[in-house]
Amino acid sequence: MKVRTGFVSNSSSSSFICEVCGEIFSAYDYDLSDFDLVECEEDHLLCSHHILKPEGPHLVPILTGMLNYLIEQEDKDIQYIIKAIKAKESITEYKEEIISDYHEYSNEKILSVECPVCTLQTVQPHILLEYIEYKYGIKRKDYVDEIRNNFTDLEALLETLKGKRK
Amino acid sequence: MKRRNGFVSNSSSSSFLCEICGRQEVSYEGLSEVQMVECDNGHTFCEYHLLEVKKKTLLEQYKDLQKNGELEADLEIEIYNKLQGALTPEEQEARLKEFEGQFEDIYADLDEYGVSAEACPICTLNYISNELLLNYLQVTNKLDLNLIADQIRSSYKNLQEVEEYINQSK
Repeated sequence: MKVRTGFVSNSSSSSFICEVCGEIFSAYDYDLSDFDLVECEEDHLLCSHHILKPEGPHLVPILTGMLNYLIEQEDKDIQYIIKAIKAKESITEYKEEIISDYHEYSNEKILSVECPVCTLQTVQPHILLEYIEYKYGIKRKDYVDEIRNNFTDLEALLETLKGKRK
Repeated sequence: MKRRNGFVSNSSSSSFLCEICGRQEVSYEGLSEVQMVECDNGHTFCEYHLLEVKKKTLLEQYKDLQKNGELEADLEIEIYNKLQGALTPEEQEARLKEFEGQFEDIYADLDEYGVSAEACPICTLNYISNELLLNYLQVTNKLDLNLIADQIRSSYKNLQEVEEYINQSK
């Protein structure tokens, strides 16, 4: 995530942008932990209230992700869960234990399965555009040229788009 | 552009985001401290991007002057000839530097807090954001972006898979 720090000489300014809602958090001499922001395993930065909760459709993948993390830590305390799962018991029956153990042992980063960007709950504009380009054979350059050839400025373009939407 | 002021208690800092390159800065003093400008329509961006447009605008202005027969001053002719002879942007830049300080009239409106829309890369469509292009495609090609986003979600498990798919084209 783009975070540029200390651009201004003699300054230690930091600023962070939430990749889900776009809100900017910034101040001098502060770091990520001073804001209500979290970072995922893939370095996406987001407000903590965007973290996907282990509920509904997110329950199994999030619990699985947490469990995998705990297994990687080779923590003996979770062997009982692994045994239970091997015995084909549902992972959801161990929800409380898994969440509790995960929060006890995990580092500050949230799991990819808890991240709206990684899980595609939020599809970022550049991803959407690149997908459309590839999937539908649309070339960005052609459309950029088309816009520039047909419109003198942003105002004219927005006016036309607004008119066509009606 | 989105700004959050005074987020930290007892602080009066403001954050600024360049709408072109995404550079983010914090400042107590304002835009000029972080080498950014704001156009008449409220677009905020690095001074660096403005300079690129200024040069292009300048060249266009001189072309228009010549076309309209208004290019009379010796200095203007000299500048125009030099720019015309410069083939690459680098050469143009180098030659413009020779005349630095002589374009005050043109630059007068490019004040750090009130750059004219004509000099703004966003207003002049020199820079077209992903969001704007998506907006355009949505209207002109009748693309349903929500439907496409749903299509992505149902076809791929996570962002990594989508990126792998997209990267096949590169």
